[in-house]
Amino acid sequence: MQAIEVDPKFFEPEYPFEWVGFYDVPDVSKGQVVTLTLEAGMERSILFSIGAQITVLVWLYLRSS
Amino acid sequence: MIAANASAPSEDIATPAPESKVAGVAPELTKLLTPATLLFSSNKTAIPVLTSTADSPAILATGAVAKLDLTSPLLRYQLQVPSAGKYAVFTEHRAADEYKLQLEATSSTGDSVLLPMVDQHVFKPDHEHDAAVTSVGLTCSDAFDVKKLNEWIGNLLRTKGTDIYRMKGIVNVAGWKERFVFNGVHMLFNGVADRLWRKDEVKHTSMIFIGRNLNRAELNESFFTCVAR
Repeated sequence: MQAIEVDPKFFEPEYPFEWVGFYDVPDVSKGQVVTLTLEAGMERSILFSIGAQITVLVWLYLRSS
Repeated sequence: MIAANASAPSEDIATPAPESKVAGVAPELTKLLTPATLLFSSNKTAIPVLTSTADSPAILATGAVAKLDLTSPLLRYQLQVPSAGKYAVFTEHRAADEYKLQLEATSSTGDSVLLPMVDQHVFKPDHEHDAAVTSVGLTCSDAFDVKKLNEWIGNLLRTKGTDIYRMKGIVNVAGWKERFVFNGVHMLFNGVADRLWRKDEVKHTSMIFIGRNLNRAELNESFFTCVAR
């Protein structure tokens, strides 16, 4: 069996992050506020057991729209 | 309120990274991989846990890395938005699927609108359940002694090669007009003289290591022994 059959991303490099999403954010100069929300959706004990009680996030500006 | 690492909008974030092409990754995203990796390896700001909806949400600064406690009863954060445009949010886990990550814009009159995600990418996830796998980013503006650098990297490959999953970097070598760029996987290493440093860019050394049980303090200390005296 080829490694790629087991793991389709076998040849891809690993990064310290697993996901990136892109968003078009409007002008907030007129008092708008942009918020980010998460839903952990799991009990604290489960989060601890899977080692995911913490997540790390980076928020980057790319370019003007 | 966390905004200590805030940075103004800058096109620098899209400066071409050492990798020019990554299979299956859009060119715009490829340019972000190195700056995002370096940010992930920098000191992370722990975001305070909120317990009441009356509390103002913590601000997540642009160009900074934040550590979020998922056991917090309120997972709501205000995003710093220096100007309108396209933004990217990188997360350690698959936040859109696993944690229902959403962005929302609220006007001063209280009207809210959900901001649609225009694109996303999922990276190889092998690191996620292994807390021993970390990344260490090292930067320096001083020129490096090529002999010391060679000895340092050689020693690193011999002693830590099995633990280093991936490394890459750009080096400002003393006396060189060209950048020295390298990348490696475990004990395999490839380094070459790259293009000339441009007159308008600041010569610097920047490298990143991803691996298991990396000792950040030890790497940082030994890294600076390579500076040309």
